[in-house]
Amino acid sequence: MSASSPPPRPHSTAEGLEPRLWVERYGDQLYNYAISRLKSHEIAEEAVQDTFVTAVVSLESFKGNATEQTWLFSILKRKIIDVIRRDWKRKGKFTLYDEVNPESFLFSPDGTWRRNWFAPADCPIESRELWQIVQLCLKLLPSNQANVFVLRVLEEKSSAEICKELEISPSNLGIRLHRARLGLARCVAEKMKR
Amino acid sequence: MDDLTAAELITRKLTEGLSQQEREALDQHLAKSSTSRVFAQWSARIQDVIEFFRETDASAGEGPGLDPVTRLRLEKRLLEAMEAAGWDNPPANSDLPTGDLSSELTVGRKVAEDQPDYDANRSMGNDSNVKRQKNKSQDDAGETI
Repeated sequence: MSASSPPPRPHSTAEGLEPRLWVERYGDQLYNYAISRLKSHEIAEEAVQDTFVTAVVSLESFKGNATEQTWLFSILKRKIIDVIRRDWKRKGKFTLYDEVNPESFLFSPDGTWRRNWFAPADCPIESRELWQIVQLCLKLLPSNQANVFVLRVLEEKSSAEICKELEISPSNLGIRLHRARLGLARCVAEKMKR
Repeated sequence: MDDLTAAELITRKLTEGLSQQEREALDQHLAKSSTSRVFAQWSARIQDVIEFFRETDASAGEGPGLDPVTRLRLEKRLLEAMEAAGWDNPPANSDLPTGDLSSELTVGRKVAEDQPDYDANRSMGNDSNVKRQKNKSQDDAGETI
């Protein structure tokens, strides 16, 4: 090596990437993130696996402007949207009226609550425990409600983006979000009563 | 306003917000309906916990993590992908100057091609699954950073 050559850089840490250590370093975190948004263990595992494979074959696109971890999470977030889009298209033949509508059992025909469904909201529960219950209840919602809820509330996508991705109208999105929130509150309150 | 309409306003408030007029009408209803009030409180509490735990660090830090079987399966798949993409052939001379990652990979492949046991399919990432995914994968990863 001549005196004017740049300092040596080990290949395994080029641009700070160490793919051989990804599962060990980030596997749990990526999986936890995925399972909090997707329906099942299998789907979450597949999203994490696709993330690693995508990252490996796209190493050239990593510019080193973010950490390895941030880069992997950004890929995973796209994978999650892909999974939801695919799931949505598979079930695209179902209309809004095919889905479970929590209004029908929560409310009487005259628009009043059938009864008080909810435990007192000030009951003591740690945030961590409540988050676990929310995740569980999210998995119990109809897919087409859970999917829009994940995109809008957890992934914070704009309504316009979601309508475009899923090819639905803003009012359709609004109805599904409303039903998802109703179903979620009902489910969480039910679990809290037990 | 009935309870059903109030519930619609409560859920919409959390996503999009309400007009001044809608807020006032909702407040009046909540003052009269204890069930609507409890529903509003639960909805807000759920929203609060989601807003905290949806952050990447918080979501990633809470959960069961990988079970041992899944971990092994992912490690195996990752190694296969690395091998197919040529990552099992690092440059023989790590002192070679490297401007960026792409040129480094090119150098790595060139060095590998000079080896007697060079397997073009393996080193150039011609594994069918990887190749099939490559174009899409670069779309997924390319714009992010």
